[in-house]
Amino acid sequence: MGHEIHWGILVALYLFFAGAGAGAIFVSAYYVLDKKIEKPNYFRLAKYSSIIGTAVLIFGIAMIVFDLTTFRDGLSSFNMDKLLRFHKLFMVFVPSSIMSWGTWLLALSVPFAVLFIFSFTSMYNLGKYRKLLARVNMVLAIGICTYTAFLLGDVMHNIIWNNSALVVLFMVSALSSGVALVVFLKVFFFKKDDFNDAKNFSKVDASILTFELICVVIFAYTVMIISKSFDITYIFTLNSVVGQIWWIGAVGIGLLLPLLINIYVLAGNRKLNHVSEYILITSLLGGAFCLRYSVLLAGQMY
Amino acid sequence: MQRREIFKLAATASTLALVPAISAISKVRKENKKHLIMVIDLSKCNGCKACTISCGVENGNSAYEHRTEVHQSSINVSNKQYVFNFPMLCNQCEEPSCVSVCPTNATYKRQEDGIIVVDSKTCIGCNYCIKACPYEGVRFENTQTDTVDKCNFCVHRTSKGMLPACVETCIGEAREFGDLNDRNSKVSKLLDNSYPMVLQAHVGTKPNVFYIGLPQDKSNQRYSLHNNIQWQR
Repeated sequence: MGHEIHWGILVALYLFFAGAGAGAIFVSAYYVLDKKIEKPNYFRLAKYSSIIGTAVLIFGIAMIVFDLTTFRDGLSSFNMDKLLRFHKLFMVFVPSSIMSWGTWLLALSVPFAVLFIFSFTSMYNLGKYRKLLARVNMVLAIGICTYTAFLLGDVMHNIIWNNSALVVLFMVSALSSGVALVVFLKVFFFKKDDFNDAKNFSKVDASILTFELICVVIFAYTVMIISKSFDITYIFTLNSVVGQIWWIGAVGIGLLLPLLINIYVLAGNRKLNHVSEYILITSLLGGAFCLRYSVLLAGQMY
Repeated sequence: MQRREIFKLAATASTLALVPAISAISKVRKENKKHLIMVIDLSKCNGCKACTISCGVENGNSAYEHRTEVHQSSINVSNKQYVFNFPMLCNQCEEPSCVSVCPTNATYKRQEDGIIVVDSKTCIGCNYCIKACPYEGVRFENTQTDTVDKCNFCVHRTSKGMLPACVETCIGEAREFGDLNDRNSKVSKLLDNSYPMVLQAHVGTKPNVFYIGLPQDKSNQRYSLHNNIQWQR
């Protein structure tokens, strides 16, 4: 078989940023619905989370637009017809196409996310709708987190992508990277004493990572079984580039390292210094990207 | 043993796999309207690749952008290996996965003849159809339009009653083209009197390109139009 990679790093970045952005919006909405924002620091954190979540989500969408061959050609040849061809996505809704569902989901999510940001300000008097917007954004965020897996899963004949475990895996990973973005905001914009929930955070993060680790093992195991039954080489071996990105990047750096850091915090009732916190954030985000990139490549190279 | 006999023997051994091909044929025939298909008799293909060249000339393809290719494969009959030539192209499926996934309806099935076409003015180049198609390499990124392209049975010719360029130039008459629902057409008679096979019947797309003389194990394999071809001459 010849292996053709049509969906490369730009699509992987799209899957990653869209998921991370939606994850951060989800956390922000959670803070609103859990009434944590009654404390001023949490209010600021929820506001910043919604801003960074929306910005990252829009950046992710820009990645997928940039991946379109017509857009790239339109840009290089100053051909406006090709450059703006992607508007045709919004001229029609195709129920049988998951990409069409995703297009409209993203088209709905961005304005609602922007309205959610405004609800934290005095602009347009949207504060009274904050809870309603939080609920709507929570649903839309879960939709985005899972949509990317459905997008791949809809390729029926692809034995790697057409795997139901991928939906749960992508959703948990997106929430985990959303949490990482929120931690980044905490570290970057706030003082260490502004929040007294370091232990709670480690508990939540460790729980998410443990669940994600279980999903990763289930996914890798099902791929192995399917590979045997179809008599094809198991793609996630350390001999292959895909396997290296998967086991070293996604599992080692993205799951085991942050899990160990969280266990270190919980076991000894310790606090992390700034460097350790940045390592935690980078490993979570880097791992989430590696997870998507390796799955994306695996489905095209098996 | 004659070349034709070898293929007959190989094909007869794969009677079980005929069911999907036959079910696709009977479904199309129930529609009772014009439905263009291609039948490829592998015993007649001599691997001259005139089809690949004429297709390129007819459609103005750039180098290495092929709508059709001819590969070589081999079969074992009575412990002896025989090489055969194996033309590949878009299967113009009855239930095409490329059509259902297209988010802009750029890829669609023509109601008048069942041909799957890509509208290069509507295609945005997301490549979802390439990924959704189980037949790797039959779709490609056309470097002239920067959109997805593929074989469309030379729709500009066939809609005027002409043959596709590859069929026109096939010197061995391995490729036959016509209306499946015209019982007097050559393709219809060929399918009625032979053991037609389709590629990867298990993926359920019900191809409209039929192969005569293709063994079951070969038909179930995944092929790529872009495989490196090592020709045995």
